[in-house]
Amino acid sequence: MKEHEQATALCSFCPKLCRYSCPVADADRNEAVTPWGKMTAMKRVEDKELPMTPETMGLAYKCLNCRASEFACEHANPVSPALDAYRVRAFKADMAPAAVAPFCEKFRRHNNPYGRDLLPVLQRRFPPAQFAGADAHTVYFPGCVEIATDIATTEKTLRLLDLPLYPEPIQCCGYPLFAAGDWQDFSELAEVNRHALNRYDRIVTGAPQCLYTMETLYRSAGHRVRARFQHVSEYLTSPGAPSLTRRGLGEVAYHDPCYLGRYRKTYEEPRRLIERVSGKPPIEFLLNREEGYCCGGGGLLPVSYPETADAITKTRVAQFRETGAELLVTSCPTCVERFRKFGVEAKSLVDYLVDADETKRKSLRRR
Amino acid sequence: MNPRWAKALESALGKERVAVDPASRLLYARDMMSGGLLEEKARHEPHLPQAVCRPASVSHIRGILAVARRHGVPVVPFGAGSGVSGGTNPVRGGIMLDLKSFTRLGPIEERGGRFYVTAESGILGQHLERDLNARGFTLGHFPSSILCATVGGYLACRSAGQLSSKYGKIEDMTDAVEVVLASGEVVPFGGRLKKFPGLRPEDVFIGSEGCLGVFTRARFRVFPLPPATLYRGLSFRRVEDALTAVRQIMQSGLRPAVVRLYDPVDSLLLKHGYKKKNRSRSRSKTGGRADWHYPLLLSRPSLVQKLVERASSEALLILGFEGDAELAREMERQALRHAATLRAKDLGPEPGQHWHDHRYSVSFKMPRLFANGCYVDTIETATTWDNLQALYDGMREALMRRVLVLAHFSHAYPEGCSIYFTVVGKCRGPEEDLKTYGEIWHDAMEVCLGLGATISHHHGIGLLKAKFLPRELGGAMPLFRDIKKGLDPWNILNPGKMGLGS
Repeated sequence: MKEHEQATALCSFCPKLCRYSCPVADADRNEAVTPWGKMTAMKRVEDKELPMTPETMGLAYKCLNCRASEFACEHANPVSPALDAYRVRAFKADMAPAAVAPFCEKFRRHNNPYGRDLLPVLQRRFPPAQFAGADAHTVYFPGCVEIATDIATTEKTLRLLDLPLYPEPIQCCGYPLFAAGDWQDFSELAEVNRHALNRYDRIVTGAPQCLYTMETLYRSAGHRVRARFQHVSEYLTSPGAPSLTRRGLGEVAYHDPCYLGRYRKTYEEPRRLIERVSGKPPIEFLLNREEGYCCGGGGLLPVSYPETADAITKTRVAQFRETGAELLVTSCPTCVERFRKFGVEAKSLVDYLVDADETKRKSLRRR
Repeated sequence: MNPRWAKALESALGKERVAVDPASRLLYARDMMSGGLLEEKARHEPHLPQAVCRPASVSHIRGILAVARRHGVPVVPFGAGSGVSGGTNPVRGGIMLDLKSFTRLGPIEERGGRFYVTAESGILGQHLERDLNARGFTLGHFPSSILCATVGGYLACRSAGQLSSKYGKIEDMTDAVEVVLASGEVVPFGGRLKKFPGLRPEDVFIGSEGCLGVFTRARFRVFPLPPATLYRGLSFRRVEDALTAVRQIMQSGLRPAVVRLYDPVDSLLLKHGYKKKNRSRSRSKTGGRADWHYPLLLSRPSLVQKLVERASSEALLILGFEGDAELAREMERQALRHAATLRAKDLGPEPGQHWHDHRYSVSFKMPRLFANGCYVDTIETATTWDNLQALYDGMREALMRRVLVLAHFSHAYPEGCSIYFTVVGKCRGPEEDLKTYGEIWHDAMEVCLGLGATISHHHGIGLLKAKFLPRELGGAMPLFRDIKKGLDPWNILNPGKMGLGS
């Protein structure tokens, strides 16, 4: 906790200089949920000036893990990691928001948040030949959100990337457990996944949250995966990647997912790919790249505080409408799911690229 | 224990808009006044509000005020709590009235060749400017609190931005205000005060720090984004010469947007900053890591001050010109002509560009200093040109014994100029620090009042300077008290502030 205590101290003396960047503060309009408020509350709990109650510890869960405040801070003070540490404490003390414990209970039954095994979903959709065998070096890890909510993207990704599917029973990286503060179960899941992932040299995924979890959070839990990780946008812009056909398409706006943008600094690859197929760069949101606004899906907020999460998504949707674009493209299944929930025509990057490619081929055949 | 009137608030607003939990109460208990941070370090119990309300409409505000009147409960209008004078500290408990749900921004309206926008009082300055920029406009208001202050806060404290020499202070750009009085009556745009029909509401309420009414929205004059901005850095051998140059520039009719003259200690820090500009853009990544050298340097502030000043007496002036490219160039040429007569050295555009790129960075230094065994505060005053040097010398003499003193002259006008002192001290023990802090402010205010300077240019009065305000206002203080009594006979709005006493 020592490192986090320094972070909370620094925030508590700050005149709230990052508050303008925090989507949660923006949605709730409440001092207590500004990065300053959350960090100061945790410091006060630490100093025993505030009682440790579910209400106070709930503030640690009012965070999207989007790192916007850290990027607005000239000291890059690590707000999310500090709050994550207090979530672990709250979870252990049974002081997490009411929905968190049942969510984790449900998660444990099938090792994902969807209440059913996900490997059979893949097996029903794809023939055995599409699953990685013993000799596979590179695999595609779709992640639970994509399998459960957008399996068409998995299908298109396999076609475009020509990669075999990750064949293991557990199809979730465990991020939801981490964000819930259930460190013990997260760590156990990470250990199981590490053994499976270590069979490959390279893991490609379309889910930046999974990528960060497996590459970085597993390591911090003591389970380092030796495989190399790549996001599909990085894979498709690396040497030897499949070529894409160029075709003029309607106006699209590109949304930067937090775990691909601020966490990984992958800003240009998805834009380059969109430009490659459409012949023009995507329309930018007013808040983009480092200043990108979260879709509302991070940090387990849709589970712990769904109203706040929904308000954030609605704000981002309004920002999308202001771009005037017809289609929203992003590189994260969680973002796609959030935007679709609020009636936006949203596509994953691969979905967009493949559709563009196929439209071109069809029109060539017609000629 | 919940106050007996909490139920009445809940029925007026809905339960979800009223908070009485310990965390909410504590997090609304103080603003960012340095003295408050020192009290926190000393573990002094703050004055806590009994409830925090987040109204979403004018009728919600009227409901809160009705409960307050009925039960004699104080109400503190609250924007984002970024003030530095204790203006929102609930010294008598009561209700914090958080206005951040008031965030609507109207369209740009044109009237007589001028442009206006109506903004609700809970919008953050940064969000307002960002949205205006997206429409091709600017408010021209860039206080260093822009990242964390609301429009209502701007109005409450009569705030000034870094480009005030061109655009004026917030009162200069405010066309109309809408205010809810303690009685629940709403003074709409263009409306009159029944009790004081001869006074313009803008003149009465701007700068009243929540003691006279609750701002709900305001109409501001806005400006098309300037097509060109030019910066220039100039170095003078002495502060006196630089001040003469600034005075000549301002009184010649030129209107630079940026005028910032740094005294030798501040100049040294700024120059150090722009020489390593490539490094400074990358974030420090140090988080709360200990900066051991701060307390060491500040253990003998007067010695450090003398050593620095012996090393250099150079004063750095940053000038900025905005608008039509040709006009900006011509203004810059004329300003350089004035500076040349005082043997200024032209440093080119780099120092100004560096200042622009880091113009809010100084606020980030504050938490680092506090987290590392030091304290820091800023004292902003202003006076006429003929009195400026005496004020600068007098304040330094009064403060340098206890703390390191940096100063810059900004917010320059044809009539005079503001001086912004930054004082940095080493923490020696919680109670001793609070005592020193009190002495610093006492001495500073005495110098200002003794020399006929104002005790506040744009940070407001709040709690910190409350006891000095009657002396500054003199014969006008009874009038101020009469206005308070006329508009808030229940004394429910932010009591205990601005020298209004009981």
